[in-house]
Amino acid sequence: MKWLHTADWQIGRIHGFASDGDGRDPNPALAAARFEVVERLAALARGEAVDAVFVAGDVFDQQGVADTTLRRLVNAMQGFEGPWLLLPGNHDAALADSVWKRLQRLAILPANVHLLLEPGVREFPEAGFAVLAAPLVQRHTRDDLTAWFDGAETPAGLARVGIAHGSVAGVLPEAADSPNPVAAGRAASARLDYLALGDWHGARRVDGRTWYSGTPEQERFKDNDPGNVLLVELDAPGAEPRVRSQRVGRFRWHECSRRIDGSAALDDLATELARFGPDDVLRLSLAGMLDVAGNARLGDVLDAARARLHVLEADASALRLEPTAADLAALQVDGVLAGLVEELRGMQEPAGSQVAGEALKILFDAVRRRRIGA
Amino acid sequence: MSFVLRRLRVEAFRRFATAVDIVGLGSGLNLIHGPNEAGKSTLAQALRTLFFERHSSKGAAFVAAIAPQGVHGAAPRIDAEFELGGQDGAAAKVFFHKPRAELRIGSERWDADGADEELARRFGFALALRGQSRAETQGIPGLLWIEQGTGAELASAVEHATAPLEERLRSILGDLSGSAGGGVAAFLQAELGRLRTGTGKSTGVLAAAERAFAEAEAERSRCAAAADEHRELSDRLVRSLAERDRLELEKPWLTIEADRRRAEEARSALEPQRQKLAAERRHLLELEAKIAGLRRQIAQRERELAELAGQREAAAGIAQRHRTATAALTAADARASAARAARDAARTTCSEAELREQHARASRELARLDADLAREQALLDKAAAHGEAMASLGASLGQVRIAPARVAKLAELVQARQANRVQREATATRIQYRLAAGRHIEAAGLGVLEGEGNHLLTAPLTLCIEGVGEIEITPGGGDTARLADEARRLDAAIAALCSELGIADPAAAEARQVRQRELEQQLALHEAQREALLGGADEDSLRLRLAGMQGQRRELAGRVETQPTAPDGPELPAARRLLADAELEATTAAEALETQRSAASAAELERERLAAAIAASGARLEGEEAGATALAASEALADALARRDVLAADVATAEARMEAQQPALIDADIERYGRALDVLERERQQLREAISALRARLETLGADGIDEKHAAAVVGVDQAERRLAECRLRADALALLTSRLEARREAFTQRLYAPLRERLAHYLAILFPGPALAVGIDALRPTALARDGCELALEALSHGTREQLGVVARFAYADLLAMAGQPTLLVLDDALVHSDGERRQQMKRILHDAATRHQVLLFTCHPEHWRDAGARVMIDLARLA
Repeated sequence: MKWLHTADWQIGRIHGFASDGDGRDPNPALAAARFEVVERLAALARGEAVDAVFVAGDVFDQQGVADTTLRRLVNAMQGFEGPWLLLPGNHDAALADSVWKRLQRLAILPANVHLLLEPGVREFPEAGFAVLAAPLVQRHTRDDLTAWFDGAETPAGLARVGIAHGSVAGVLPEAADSPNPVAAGRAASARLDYLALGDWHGARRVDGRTWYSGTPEQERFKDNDPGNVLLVELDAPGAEPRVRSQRVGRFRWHECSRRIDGSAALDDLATELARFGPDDVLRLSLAGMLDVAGNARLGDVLDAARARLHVLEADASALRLEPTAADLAALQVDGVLAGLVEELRGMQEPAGSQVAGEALKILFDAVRRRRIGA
Repeated sequence: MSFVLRRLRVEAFRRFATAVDIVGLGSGLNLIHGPNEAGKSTLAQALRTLFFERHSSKGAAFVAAIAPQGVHGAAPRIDAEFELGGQDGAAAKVFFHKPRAELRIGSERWDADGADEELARRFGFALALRGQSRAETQGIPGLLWIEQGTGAELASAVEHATAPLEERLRSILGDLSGSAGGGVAAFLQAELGRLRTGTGKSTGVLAAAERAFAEAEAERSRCAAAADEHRELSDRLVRSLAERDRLELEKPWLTIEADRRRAEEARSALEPQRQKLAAERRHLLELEAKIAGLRRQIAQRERELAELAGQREAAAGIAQRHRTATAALTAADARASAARAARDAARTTCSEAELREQHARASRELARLDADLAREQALLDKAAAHGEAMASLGASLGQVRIAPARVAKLAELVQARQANRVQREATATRIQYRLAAGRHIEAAGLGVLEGEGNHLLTAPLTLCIEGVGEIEITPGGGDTARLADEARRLDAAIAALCSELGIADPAAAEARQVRQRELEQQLALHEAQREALLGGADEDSLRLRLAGMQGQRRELAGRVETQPTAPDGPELPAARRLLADAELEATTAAEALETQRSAASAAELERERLAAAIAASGARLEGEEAGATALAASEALADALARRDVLAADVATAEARMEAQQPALIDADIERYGRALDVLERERQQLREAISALRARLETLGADGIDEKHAAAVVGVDQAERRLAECRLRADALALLTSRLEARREAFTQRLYAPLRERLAHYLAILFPGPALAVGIDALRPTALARDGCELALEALSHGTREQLGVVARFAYADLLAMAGQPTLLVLDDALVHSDGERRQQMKRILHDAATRHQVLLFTCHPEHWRDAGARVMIDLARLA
C-alpha cells in the first residue's frame, strides 16, 4: 500500500508584498503557486500509483473563499483519479456553514474526492485501509479529537490510518499551550498503522507511524522544511511504514537581518544576495552606517537583487547615512549646507531619528542632482 | 579689479545718426552735461546696449529702440575703450547689418557670442535667452547704472542683482562655494510643495496616499463587518440548530398537552351541575321580572282610581260654571234682540231719507239735461246749415272744376299758337288796301274788302275785282305754308282741348278757374265754421250724443215719475247718524251674545267630556271584573314573592357548591396550557424559519468569498499604510530640511549684511551728520533708518531722501563689489534731481568720496549744480555734437 500524505494547502491565502518599481505585483504568482503545487501533487500521486492521498486539514486558508477558488482547486486535483481524503482543519473547520458545505452545494466534487466532515471510520476495502477521521468542527478545541481512535473498531485485514489536525503535545516546540491537541503516542494507543497529521507547516516525524507532512508550498517566513509531501508505504497492516519526504514546492521564503558597516559588509551582502533566484522570497532587515557612496552602492545591490528575486522586501530604516568629510567635499556643499548636514547628523545620532536620516538622504540626493544637473 | 571707461563711441544709434565720440573719460567723477535733448540718456543707453544686448539681437522692438530715426538699413555701432585691472581693453558691437561683437582685454580676445558672454560674466549680469535684455537679468550693472528717474527704486534693482551680489559678498567672507543653499532650498521647497501646501495641508502623492489608506481602511472595515456578520450568522445558525435539536429531543409540549387534557376532563365533569345552576338562575330572573310586572300593574290601578276621584270633583265645579253661563246667555240674547229692532227702525228712517234725497237729485239732473239738450240741438242745427251750404258749394264747384294739368296744357298750346302767329305775321304778305268808297273787292276767303284795311296773307289769296278779273296773291317764303299748317294744328288742338274741358275757348278756362277758387274759399270758410262748432267731433257723433242724452233724459224723467215718494222725516245726515248708533249697539250686543254663547257651550262641552270620562273610567275601574282582576293580581304577587324566596335560597346553595370546586381555576389552567402550547409551536416555527433564513444568507455571503476579500483588504491596508508612512517620512524630512535650511540661510545672510551695513553707515554719516544712524537691512537692501531708537521705514521717507539713499546704497554696493574684485562703474543719469541745495552739498561730499574708489559718470542738465563736485572730466555734449 502506498499513500501520499500532505496537509496545509492553505488555498485562498493572500499575500501583501509591495509591487516593485516597475509595478510588477508578486502576489498573484504566490497565490497561483498553491494551485500549481496541487497539480504537481496529483501528477506525483499518479506517477507513484498511490492508493490514496491524505490531506490532513487546512485545505483552505479561510472559510469564505470565492466559488472560483473552489472550482480551481477541483480542477487542480483532476490529475489523480484515485481517492482523495480531505479533512477539515482549524482554518476550514466543518462548521454549521462551512466552505465544505459550499463545495457540496456547488456539486463540483468528483466521486473520488471524499470529505471527512464528521468524526468516524470510513472504510476503503478495495484500497485495503480504513480511515479514522478527526475533523475539526470548530476552529479550536481543548479536547483531543483523536481520543476515540483508541476504542474504534475497523474490519480486520484493513490497514488503520488516522487523520487529524492539531499539535502533538510535548513534541512541537510551540505546542505546549496550543489548542487542538493530539496525544503523543496516539498511533500506538489506537493501534494505527499510520497517523497523518496536519497543522505544522514543516515535514516532521513524530514517531515511526506519526508524521507531519508540512505544507507543500511555503507561505510564510518560517524555515522548518516546508514544501514537501510524504510518500508512505506499508507492506501490510501492522508492518512498519516507510516514509520518505519529497519536495514539491516552488517558492522558498527567507528572512534575514544583516549589519552593514563599511564596504566589506556590503560586498558580503552582494555575494549573499547573488545566491537567490526567481523562486525566492526574501525579507531583509539592514542596520548599520553607510557613507554616501556606500548608500548609493547599497541601492544598486538591492536593485539588482530585486530584479532577480521573486520578492525582496528590504527594510533599511535602521541604516544610517554617515557622510564623510570626503562626501561633503565631493558634494561641494557650501557653509550653510555643511552646517545643515552636521545638524542633521547630530539629530539622527541619539535616538536614531528616522526623519533626520531621511532628511539627510534627501539633502544629499538634492545636492547631487543639482550638481549633475538632473 | 578697477575698471575705468576711457572712451565711448556711438554711431548710428538713436539720435546720433553720425558718430559721437566721448574721449578722455577718466577715473573718479566724470560730469557729462548738456541741455535737454542733447543726448545724455542716449549715451547712457548706448552703454547699456553695448553690455546687455546680444550683438545678434534683432527683434522689431529692439530695432525701434536703438535704430536712428528715419534711417533705413542702419547698423548701430558702439565702441568702448577701457582699463580693467591694469590692462587695456576694448569692446565693440555692431547690430542688425552684419552684426558682430568683439572684446579684447589685454592680449585676450573674444568675438561674437563669446564676447557677449565674457562681458556678462565679468560684469555680473545675464544675457536674455532671446530678445531684448530685461531688468531681471541685468544684475550688477543694472543696479549700479541708475537710469533716469529710477534712483529711488532700489528694491527691484537689488532683487535682480541678488545672486551675483551674494556671490561676490560671500567671496569677501571667504566662502567660495556657489549658492548658500539657495538652489537646494528652492528645490527642497518645491519638493515639499508637492506633498504639503504652505498651510501644512497634505497634497499630491501624500494626500493620495492618505486617501488610499483611508479607503483601504474603509474597505477593510467593510470586509471585516461582512466577515463578522458571517461569523455571527454562523454562530446563530449553530445556536438555532442546537435549540431545535434540544426541543425535538425534549418534546416539552407532550406534558403540557397531558395537563391540558386533564383539566378539560375536570371541566366536563362539572358541566351538569353548571347547567342546572344556570337554569335556576334563569328561572329566578323570570320570577323577579314577573314580580316587577305585577307591582307595576297594581300601582297603575291605584293611580287611575285617584285620577277618577279628581275628575268627579272637577265635574261638580264645571256644572256650576255651566249654569251661570246659561243665565248670562239669556240676558245677552234679550239685549241683542232689542238692539236689532232699534237698528231696523233706524234703517227704515234712513232709507226714506235717502229716497227723498234721490228724488230731489233726479229732478235737478233732469233740469240740467234739458238745458244741455237744447244747447246741443242748437249747435247741431247750425252745423247742419253749414253742411248744406257746403253741399251746394261742392255741387257748384264740381261744375266749374277743371284739371289744372289740362289748363296748363291749354295755356301752353295757346302760347304756341301766339308764337306761331307772330312768326306768321312776320313772314306773311301784308295786303293794305284803300278802296275807293263804295268799291269793293271780293277776296276769296276774306270776304269782301271795302274801305281801308289790311290783311296778312298766310295763304294764297285770290282777289276778284269785278270787272277786272282776279288777282292771285301767293305769300312768299318757304315757311309760310308750314307755319300755317302748324297754326291749324294748334287751333285744332286748342279746339279739341276746349271741347274736352267743356269750354268755349281758352279764355273761358280762365274764368272757370277764378270761379273755382272763389267756391273753394267759400267752402273752406263753411268748413272752418262748422269745425269750430263741432269742436273736432263730426256731426254724426254729436247727433249720437244728443240721442244718448235724450234717452237719458227719458229714463230720468220716467224714474222721477215712477219713484214713490216717502213721507217726511229727518234729513238724511241725521238719519244716518241715528242708524250708525243703532248699528253699533246691535253689533256690540251680538258680540256679547256670541261670547256668552261660546262660554256656555265650552262649559257644556267640558261638562260632557268629564261626564264621558267619568263614565268610562268608572265603568272600567269600578266594575265587577276590574275588582276581580285587582284581587287576582294581589294574590299572584304574594305567590310569586314566596316562590322567589325559595328559589333564591336554592341558587345560593348551588353557587356555593359550585364555587367550592373552583371552575375558574380549571378554565384558567386550560387557557394557560393552550397558550404555552401556542408559544412552543411558535418557537419551533420561528426556529425553522430562522434556520432557513440563516442558511440562505450564509450561502449568499459565502459565495462572495468574504474571507478572501477580507484577507486582501488587510493586505491592502498594510500596503497603503507602508506607502503613507514613506510619504509622511519624506514630507516630514522635507519640512525639517526646509525649516532648518531657511534658518541657516537667514543667519548666513545676516552675516553677509555686516560689511554692507558698515559701508552704508559710512555714507549715511556724511549725508546725515550727527549721531550715528542704524540701518535695517533685509534681502540685501536698506529698509529702515533708526536714530536714537526711533525707526523710520524707507517707504516713509520723502522721494528726495529715498533718491539720495538709493544712490548711497549703490555706492555701498560698489564698495563691497570692489572689495570682492568686481569691476565697478557707477552711472548716474540725472539721478539726484530731487535733492535740495543743502542735501546736494552732502551728496557732493559723498560723490567725491566714492569717486576716489570708483569711476562715476554723472549725466546732468544742470552743470552749475555740480561744478564744485570735484569732477576731473567735464564734457559738454552740446559742444560735442
